[in-house]
Amino acid sequence: MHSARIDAASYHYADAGNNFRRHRIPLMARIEIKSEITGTVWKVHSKPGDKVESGDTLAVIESMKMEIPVITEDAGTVREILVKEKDAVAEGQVVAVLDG
Amino acid sequence: MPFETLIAEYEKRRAKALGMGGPEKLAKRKKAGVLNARERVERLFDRGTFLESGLFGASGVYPDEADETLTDGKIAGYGKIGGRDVAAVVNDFTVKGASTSATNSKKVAHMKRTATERGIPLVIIGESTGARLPDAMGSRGMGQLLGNDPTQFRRMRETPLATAVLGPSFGSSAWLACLADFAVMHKGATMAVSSPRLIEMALNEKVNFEELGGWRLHAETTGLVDQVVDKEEEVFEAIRRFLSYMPGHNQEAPPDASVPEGSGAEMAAVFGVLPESRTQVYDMKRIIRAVVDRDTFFELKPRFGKSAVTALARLGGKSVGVVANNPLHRGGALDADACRKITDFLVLCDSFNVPIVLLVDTPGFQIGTEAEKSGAPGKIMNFMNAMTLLTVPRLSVIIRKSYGRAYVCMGGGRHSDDVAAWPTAEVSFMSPDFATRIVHGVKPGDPAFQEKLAEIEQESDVWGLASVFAAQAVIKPEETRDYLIRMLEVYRLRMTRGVGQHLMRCWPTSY
Repeated sequence: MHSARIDAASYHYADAGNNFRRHRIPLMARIEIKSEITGTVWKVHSKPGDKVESGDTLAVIESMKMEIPVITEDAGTVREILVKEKDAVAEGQVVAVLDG
Repeated sequence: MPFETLIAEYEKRRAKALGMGGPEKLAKRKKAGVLNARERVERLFDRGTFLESGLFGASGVYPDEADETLTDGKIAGYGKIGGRDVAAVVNDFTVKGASTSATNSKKVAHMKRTATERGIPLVIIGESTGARLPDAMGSRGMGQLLGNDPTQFRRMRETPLATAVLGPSFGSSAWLACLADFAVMHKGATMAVSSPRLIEMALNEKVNFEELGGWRLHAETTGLVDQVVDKEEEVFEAIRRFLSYMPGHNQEAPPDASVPEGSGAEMAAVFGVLPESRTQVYDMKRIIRAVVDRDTFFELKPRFGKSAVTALARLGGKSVGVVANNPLHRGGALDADACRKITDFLVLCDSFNVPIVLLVDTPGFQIGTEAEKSGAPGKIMNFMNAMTLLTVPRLSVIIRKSYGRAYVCMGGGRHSDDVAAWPTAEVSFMSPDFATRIVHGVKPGDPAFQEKLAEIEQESDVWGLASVFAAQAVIKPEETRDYLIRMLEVYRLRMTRGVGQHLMRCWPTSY
């Protein structure tokens, strides 16, 4: 599960009337990678500074007797890993933060 | 008056109208790398097929503003996509922000009426500010402008509606995207009820466009858009491709396509996608891609409710809707978002005569407090009800796990025309581990646990299901594609030439 807060102002254009105006394009987005599921951290696969691609597994959560990966949809650089092995995590909890 | 003068007048007016909001505004767009409305028309339709309706429309409220309201901000007309007729409205933001006015409302209504009554898809390319001001101000303005067409937002799914969300999409662009069968959003666009400026005035809440209604919000949290694209050109390709899986209207079957060379080539290796341990996960999309015709996998809502996959595709050249669990996310457990996504998709497919293929590997519905807070039981029942109202052919293949109520929702029993299972299938009311603890009152570590667990695991294997004819076939994984193509032929709706009953045609477009 992912969500992002855009640090820089981003939007492409906007104006309530007729004028067309281009706004700033985001340079860097803060991307929060969340656990999809409540469970226990089984493995952590990445560390700050790692470059990751879309589809990479950052950690594995044990839940419902299965190994559930925490996957990033977006490419970027790991800024923080917020969990360690054996930690309990709740659904929606932020596991890692990327700069993307 | 000599005819030459009339023709000269015509040419002058025509050139002006084709000029949209004027050279200055068009130059600004061009500099910003954003297509103008007429360039969008060209990219949407097959080359040279556009026939415009209402080129000379303009503000009827302020006739003296005719020059500032050329074509009244919405370009309407007909064209061909893949050789088939389609009606479209393309918003022209350079004219009054493509705001909704009296004249352009008539144009949009005319396109919708023609599309609906004559059985052709409707496409709306959004980018708009909302109702035009001051036209809609005051009770007189409101009475004149809004609410006079009771069919404006009526969806009966007679014909497919595809929409694009570009730039700022407020007002009609947002409403129609949310009513559509397919909505594609360009990264950087905004879809919202109101703009940040008004929100700050009214609520003193400072929010930027991206947080308020950007692509991530709609792709990952609201699920209101089906696809997101990086480049503007890809918006038109996505719409053209979506329509290629759809019939022109709900009284005909979707068009057939040729089967691309190399289709099925990966079937020999498809079993290898499954991990040997039942506690490990895999990406169901690898199996779907191997099974369907090559390069026909067209996924909807890929970032929303990810423990389910919903995709249009072709099998043997015929359109199918694939509904699958994806163990890669939540182990395949279906949460409220996944149920919502599947329900949306079942309604789409049934309304437009697209057969359904279900690929099953789910430990059941998502349990836990978060699931309950999201109203999971209601979403599960919408999904269940939709499965009982389907009238198109549907086949299900149990790949691995199929547990509990989710077994029924994913096509178990008579909720599919035909159920096939891989030898790896395991079916029960709950996972063997938990069942052992509950049924036998033992837990891992207790002396009898392993023995009781082995018994329960054996009772969950595929042979029990096959022996009571709850699975009509047990198939080798590599046979799945050929089996599905053959069975879709067997279950073809011959009596109605492929047309279903559309019992969900009035269901909402989001829940």
